Amino acid sequence: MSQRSKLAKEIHILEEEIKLLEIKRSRSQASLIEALISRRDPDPTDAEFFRMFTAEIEVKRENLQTLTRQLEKLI
Amino acid sequence: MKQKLRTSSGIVILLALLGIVCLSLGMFFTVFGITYAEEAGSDTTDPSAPVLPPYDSESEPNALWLVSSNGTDFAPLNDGGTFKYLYIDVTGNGNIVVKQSNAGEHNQYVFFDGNAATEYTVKLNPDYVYEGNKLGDTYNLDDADYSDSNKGVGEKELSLDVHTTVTVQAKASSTDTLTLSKTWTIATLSNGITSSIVDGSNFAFGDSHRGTSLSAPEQGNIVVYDIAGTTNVHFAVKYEGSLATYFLDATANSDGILEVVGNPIDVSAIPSDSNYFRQQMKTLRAGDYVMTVTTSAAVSENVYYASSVDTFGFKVSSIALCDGDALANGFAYQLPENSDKVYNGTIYNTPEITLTYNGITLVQNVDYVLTTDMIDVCDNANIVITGSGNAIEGTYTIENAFSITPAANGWAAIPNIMRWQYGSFNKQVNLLTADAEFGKNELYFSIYAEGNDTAWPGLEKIYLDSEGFVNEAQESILKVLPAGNYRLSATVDGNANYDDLSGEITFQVFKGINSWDAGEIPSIKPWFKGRYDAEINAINAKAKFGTAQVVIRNAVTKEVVYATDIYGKEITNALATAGVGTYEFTATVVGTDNYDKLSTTFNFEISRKGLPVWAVVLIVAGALGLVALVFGILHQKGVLQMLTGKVIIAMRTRANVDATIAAVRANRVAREAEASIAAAKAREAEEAKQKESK
Repeated sequence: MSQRSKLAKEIHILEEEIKLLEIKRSRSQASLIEALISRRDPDPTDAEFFRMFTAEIEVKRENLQTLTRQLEKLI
Repeated sequence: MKQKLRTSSGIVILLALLGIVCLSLGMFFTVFGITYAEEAGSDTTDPSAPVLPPYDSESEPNALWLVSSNGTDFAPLNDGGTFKYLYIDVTGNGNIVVKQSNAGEHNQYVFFDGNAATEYTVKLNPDYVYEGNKLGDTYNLDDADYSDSNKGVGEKELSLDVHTTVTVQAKASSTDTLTLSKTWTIATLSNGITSSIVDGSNFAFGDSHRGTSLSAPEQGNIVVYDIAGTTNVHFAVKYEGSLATYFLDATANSDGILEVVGNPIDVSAIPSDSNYFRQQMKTLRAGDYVMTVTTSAAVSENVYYASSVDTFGFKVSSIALCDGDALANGFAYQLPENSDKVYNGTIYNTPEITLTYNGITLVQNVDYVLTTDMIDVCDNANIVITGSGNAIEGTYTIENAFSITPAANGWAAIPNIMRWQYGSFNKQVNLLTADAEFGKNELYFSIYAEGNDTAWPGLEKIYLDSEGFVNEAQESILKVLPAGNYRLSATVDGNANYDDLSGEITFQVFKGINSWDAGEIPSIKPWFKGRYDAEINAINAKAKFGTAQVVIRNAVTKEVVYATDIYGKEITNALATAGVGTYEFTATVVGTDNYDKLSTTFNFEISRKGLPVWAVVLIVAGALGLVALVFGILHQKGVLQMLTGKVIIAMRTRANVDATIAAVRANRVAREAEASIAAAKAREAEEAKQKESK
């Protein structure tokens, strides 16, 4: 497999993983927003999940950008 | 007042009359070709023109012009005093006319000795032809030179103080010594060859140049061409009453027309007693001709002659070689000193004679052909002269003209034979060749084995057929001629006309290269045990040379089940009862002096009897059912679906990869486009700012 196809495949996988993580993060995000508009303290577990998913998404986005730049150089 | 008017009128009339007189005088001089220049002191002539010696009437000859009655001996015009009062007028196209000035009229001719029948030639005195001023140039005759000569003679009205300009132009050289008579006559060929030629009276010219009558044109070009356009022609126009003959050469132009080219031949260069023209016309072949006489425009004694073309045809007929049995008058022949000929077997074997007609040497193979009716050796051979028809016709035989002696025979092509390998002689390829100068049809070949003086049986005399091949019977002998060395002898038996001739070469019949016949290379069709059929399972083994010995034996036990001897005779055959197993087939041809040995070995199988058809069908059907069962189980267990899903996933992955690459490329292009737009906008803004600042 060529380097270009390999990068494209990894990018596609990262995009799919980011989408999945965003979906997972949306659950805790919804709980946090509800607590916010209800003027009550958010559930610490939801907050922890939100932070964890967000951090993981950030890492993968950075990785995605790196791979995208590499692919741009090849095409 | 009236007196003044009358005086004025008288002056005007006087001036008018004076003008008329002057005009009349001017016209008078102009009519007679005399041009008066301005008076002395206002000369407009070229100052670089040569200054002629002053005229001295006491110490002649300082004459500018010379005159001759015979074209050779020229004397000054004023010689003898008779011509003292002459002047030169030049008219028209340069023909010089001598006139006397005191004759009352300018156009009256002068004849120096008073004989009107004699004409004179006038030319410029070469003593006064200066370098660079020759005939064709313009000379200024100084008026002072002629002042005395004009005084006291008839032309008193001529001023002595004028310059007379004389333009002298050279005549064509051909006219210098040629004067034509009233009638042009084509020279008649009295020798009979061109007896049908007609006189050219249809292109007569005007009166001859005699007395004061008008002269004829003085030059003419003549063209003769052959209708068939095949030959050069020479011809002449003869001046009636004169022996002078005027010659022109003619050669064919690109259209096949014979035109006069080059300068006419000066008749003075030809001996007076020769008849050059007639000699040339005699060479014309029989045929129709057209002669065209073209006369160039000419001027003579103030008379202009337009050019003209006259054409007439004439025929040149062949002349008969014989008058009865005798040679016709005019013909003569001469045999060479040694007229004997060596036999050459043709009718053209004759000595070359010299045949003439009225002194004209005729050309062999053009005007006539020589043959003989005695081909063989003899002492009294005849020469037959046959006219070719385009000059002479008929046949004349010179009897007992020469002897024919025997010829020494020789080879035109030495004997040879194309070699071959044993058994492959082909009469159309392996040619026997030889060519004798004489006796070609009696030529025969013989073939001897090396060291043997007796010819090979059947090959004692080999005559080639009309196509140069040996006959079939001898071809069959040559095909089986053993390999080895031989002699080929070629012989022509001599006779009275030529000698015996023989020659020989050695040649070799090469050893043959053996091989199996293409259709019968060693082979045998295998069979199932107990099903041997002698026809179906036939044994093939046939060599190009020799007989194949075939041996079939069991490859393991070496038991021989079939064998033939070296002559192909079957000595063992147990093929029908041979058991199952592998057998070795060997075919061998023993080599000889004539061809190489040959051997081939291969194995074949005798198998057990095969399964019946129904069993084979059952086995195949069972196999197909087993395969279907396996696929059904795989489908049932979802293995096929899984494999199919993997394929689909791989295809999707590939599509995703392509889509990702496309998206990345599109994003990059979009960014570059945005950057370009931003840069453009920045430039526009910068430019707008600069405009405002200005």
